[in-house]
Amino acid sequence: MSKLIHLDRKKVKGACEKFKTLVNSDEELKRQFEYMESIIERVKKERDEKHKIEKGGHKK
Amino acid sequence: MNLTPNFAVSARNPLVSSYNPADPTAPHMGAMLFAYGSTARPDSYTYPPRPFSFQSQYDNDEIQIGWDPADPNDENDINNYANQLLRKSCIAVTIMPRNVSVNNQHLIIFGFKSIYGSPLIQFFVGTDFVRTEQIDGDDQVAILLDHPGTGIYNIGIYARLASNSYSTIAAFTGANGYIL
Repeated sequence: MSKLIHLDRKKVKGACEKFKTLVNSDEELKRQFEYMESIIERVKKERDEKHKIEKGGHKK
Repeated sequence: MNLTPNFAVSARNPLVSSYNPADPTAPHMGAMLFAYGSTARPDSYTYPPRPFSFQSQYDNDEIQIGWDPADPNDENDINNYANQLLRKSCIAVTIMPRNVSVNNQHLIIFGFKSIYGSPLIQFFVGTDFVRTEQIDGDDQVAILLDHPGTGIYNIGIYARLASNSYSTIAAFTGANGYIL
């Protein structure tokens, strides 16, 4: 791997917080990012439900 | 030592989650891929064919970006998110790490390919400029990020095409992520 970029905690944290402020200041962006998070949450929920059913299926 | 990626996003898999319901407290990651200013042609109009077509992108599981590169001299932080990233030829990978600690790091390996011209890729974390890399042939750029802190963080990595030539094209061939 010839091209490696390392970003330390301070840099990442600063960039994330700056970006969060940007998203919260723009209604359209805020909606888009909330939607993104909701999709990931939906995936988790679906997997949890499927897992629950599969576990339940083993019981007599 | 071989590491198994925690996630892999590409044109055909733009939304992934490594969440395992059997082990819900384990570190996991949601990841999403976005492409702005991508380019495709029904055919390459050349013989022998060049890999510009819709079909070749689908076959190779890649997204070509081009025809609206940024100025390579513009290595500044973004002050207009829409105009300087979303309205440019750009790839964004957003990661949503969960159940990770401040001791963790995230390694994301971006794959790019030079399709036409001499593409440069400018990397940003959020809207902060990080570095420019020249893409030579079939290439990879690894980004190692320290996890920013306690609490919930979503991290956006933007890869913006830059070139002095308007017709430069690069292909994004996927990104693999690892929690270290």
